[in-house]
Amino acid sequence: MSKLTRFIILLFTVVVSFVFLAPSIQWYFFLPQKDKDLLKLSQDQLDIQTFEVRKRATEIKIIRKGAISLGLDLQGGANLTMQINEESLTNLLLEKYDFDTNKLVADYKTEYANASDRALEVLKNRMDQFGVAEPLIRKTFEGRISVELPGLSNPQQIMEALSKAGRLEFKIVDEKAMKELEAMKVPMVPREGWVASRQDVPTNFVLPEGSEWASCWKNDEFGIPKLNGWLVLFKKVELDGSMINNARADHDQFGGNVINFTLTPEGADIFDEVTAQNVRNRLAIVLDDKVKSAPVINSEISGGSGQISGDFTIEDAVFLQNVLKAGSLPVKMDIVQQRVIGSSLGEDSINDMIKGGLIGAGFVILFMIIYYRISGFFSLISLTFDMLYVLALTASVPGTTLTLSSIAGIFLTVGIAVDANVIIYERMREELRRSRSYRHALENGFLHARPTILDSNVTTLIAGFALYAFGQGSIKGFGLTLCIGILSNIFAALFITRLIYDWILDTFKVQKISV
Amino acid sequence: MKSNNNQNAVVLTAEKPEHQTRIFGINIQTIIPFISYRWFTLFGISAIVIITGITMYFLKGGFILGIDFKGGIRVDAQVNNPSVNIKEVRKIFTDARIEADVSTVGNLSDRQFMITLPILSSENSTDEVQMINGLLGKNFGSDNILIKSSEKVDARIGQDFGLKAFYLILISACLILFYVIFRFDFFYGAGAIGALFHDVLFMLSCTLILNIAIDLTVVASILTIIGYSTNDTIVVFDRIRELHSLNKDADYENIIDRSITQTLSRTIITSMTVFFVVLSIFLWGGVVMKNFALLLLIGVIDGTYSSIFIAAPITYMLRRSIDKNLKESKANRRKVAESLKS
Repeated sequence: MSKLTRFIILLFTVVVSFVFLAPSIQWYFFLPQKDKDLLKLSQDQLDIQTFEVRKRATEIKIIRKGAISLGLDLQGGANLTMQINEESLTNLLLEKYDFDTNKLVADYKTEYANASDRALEVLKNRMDQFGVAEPLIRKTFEGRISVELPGLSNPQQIMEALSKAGRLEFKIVDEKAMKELEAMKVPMVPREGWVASRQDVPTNFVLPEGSEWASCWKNDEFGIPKLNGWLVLFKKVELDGSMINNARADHDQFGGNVINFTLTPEGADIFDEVTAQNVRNRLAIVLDDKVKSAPVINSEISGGSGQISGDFTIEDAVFLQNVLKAGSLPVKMDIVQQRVIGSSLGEDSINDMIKGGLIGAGFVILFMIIYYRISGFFSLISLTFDMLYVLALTASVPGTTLTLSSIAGIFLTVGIAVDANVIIYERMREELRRSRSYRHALENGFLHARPTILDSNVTTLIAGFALYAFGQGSIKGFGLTLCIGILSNIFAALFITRLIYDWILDTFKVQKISV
Repeated sequence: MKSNNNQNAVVLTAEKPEHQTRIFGINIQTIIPFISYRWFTLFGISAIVIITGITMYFLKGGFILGIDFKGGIRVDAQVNNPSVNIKEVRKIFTDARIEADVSTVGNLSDRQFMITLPILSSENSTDEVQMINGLLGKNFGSDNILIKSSEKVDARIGQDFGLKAFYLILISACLILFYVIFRFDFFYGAGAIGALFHDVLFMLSCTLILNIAIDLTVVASILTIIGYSTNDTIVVFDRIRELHSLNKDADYENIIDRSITQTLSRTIITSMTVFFVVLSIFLWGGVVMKNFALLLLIGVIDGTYSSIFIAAPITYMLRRSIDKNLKESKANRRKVAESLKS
């Protein structure tokens, strides 16, 4: 490759790195706190803000998503790991299986997995109640669910809210009120037929006695519930989740996604009566006070089984199935691990770690320059690029959080990073002792150092990958930064250091560079 | 036999003085006979540490497990009361009949304490953290107590963590073994894996000797050292392979000694640079990472040591006892050497 091509490649990597880093730089160095606070508003609160504020909030959200986020150990907060309360699940299942213990034992594993899927939906549904800017809920191993609540220092107050089972209710939509709103030309969400924003509701609209506003939520592409609109519902609870016997996502004869459900005998009677009285009205499925879907009742449904059809994707259908089941099998959750880090500790740790790491890195660079002179200075340059790539790659992997241990990992790669340069320089020194020509020694030095560098780094990469793939929490982050560090370090040592050599030798017409 | 080897070395070196090595400006003319020292290093230094570790293991009835693995509660509290000392804090808990383990964190002047205790009740509602806060507050003034961090781990999840950590180390060891066998051969793989297990044993022994509780950070540090140490080992192996393929008939012991001597300056410099970084994280990097950095410090030294004194000798001994070609070539060379002599 010619020097120009290599230079262009280098330039390209730098530009790409800065593109990845741009949101992080914006978020940590330029955004005022006032703008950042917009993220703390819950969806309902945001809905009553002006259009400009909402637009700004969306912009901020996009920046935030692209920026490297700090782990709980750096910004403080609470991390809870939740697990299905097995006793409550077993009791529920015993009832469901008519005390047939053999069947229960046979199906327990699947039932447990399903229950934890449902619990995940229930928890996600409650996410906005925590009053935390960026709650993070995800499945971890063995059907456990991890909840991260940055900035929260006393999880006790929300633990109750977290561990209680989901409450599923069915309510009838107040179609008269909805018609009235439509006549007032209030913008509606197409197809769903619910009010897009409560801000648009004119002040002369009077909420009928016995009715209430209810928020409607749809899952976004990440499976996170997002506020989608508003409906007026009758306050009366027609049915509750305990009356659902089972629910299953299925296909109808046209290949569309539907949800089939069956009711308990008691539920079947009530459902028959309710549907008979409300044909052509909508029946809202409400989980923890949030409307998840509001299908139209097409006809009276008797016999205790029904079908919800609509323009569903398979994810929608499975989601609704889980919502219905969450009501029928309301399992309690236990908190099996709880970690709270005060924000002052986080601040101290990040400052200390950066101080310690920088002193160490300084030592390393000083040593390299003293020992290898100009070549040592070259390794400083390639190390600078290396650090840029490490940060950019960290930012480019979605969902990566920078924890204390991953910062330690980055500094550790500084120590390991110069290793590649050391291997090259030591080899060059050996070659120099053997041959008269500097160019030849340089060529041979790099040639022989390459397989050594690759082989030796792959093993560290394997260890790092194992940490990333099978590790949990902070270990995962550490493994990732270790891997990223190694990859950029190989590139920096073999590609950039060499380019600097060639450039200096050719441009300044020097015969040799001290190594 | 010993004298024979030395003679071979002389025969080889007479061709070119190429294995002259410079470390920190000092010329090293001779090849350091690392392999000859193997019994001393294999059963000397490493054995002392590991046997001490095993003894401690039985004395303490197993590893010291952190709450990550055995479950429990850990509270990191700062008490801003000049009269506080660790004895008083301990007394508070013995008086309240709570089996708590109290230790200081960081400088004594910070008055920061780490309090570890088992979970008192399996009910979600019991809040031990608040209880500890209350107990401390009652004795030292509630305004003076700052809970810096707290952690509560159920025993159920702890066991899973432990198993996962064990598998994590096993999986990475297997992957590394496969890679080395694939890139080199079985003998090198065995050497690398021997060094790897030595590292794990060595570091686990150190946790016992230094009384460090094993938690997730300790597992992370062990895995990092596994990677680092194998990295070091591969650099030596790479040189052995290179020299071996260049001088097929040369004495294997001599090849290994030469390879280690030639790569010694690199080994020392790299260990030093990594050591610098870890040392400054240990000294100035804050209290949270202290144990992590301490184990890494030990690991860097041990990893460097094991790639020279464990990995290479194991490869050598295995190849000598199994590889027939090596024996034959050696016998041949002996014949040649003898004929030359005569």
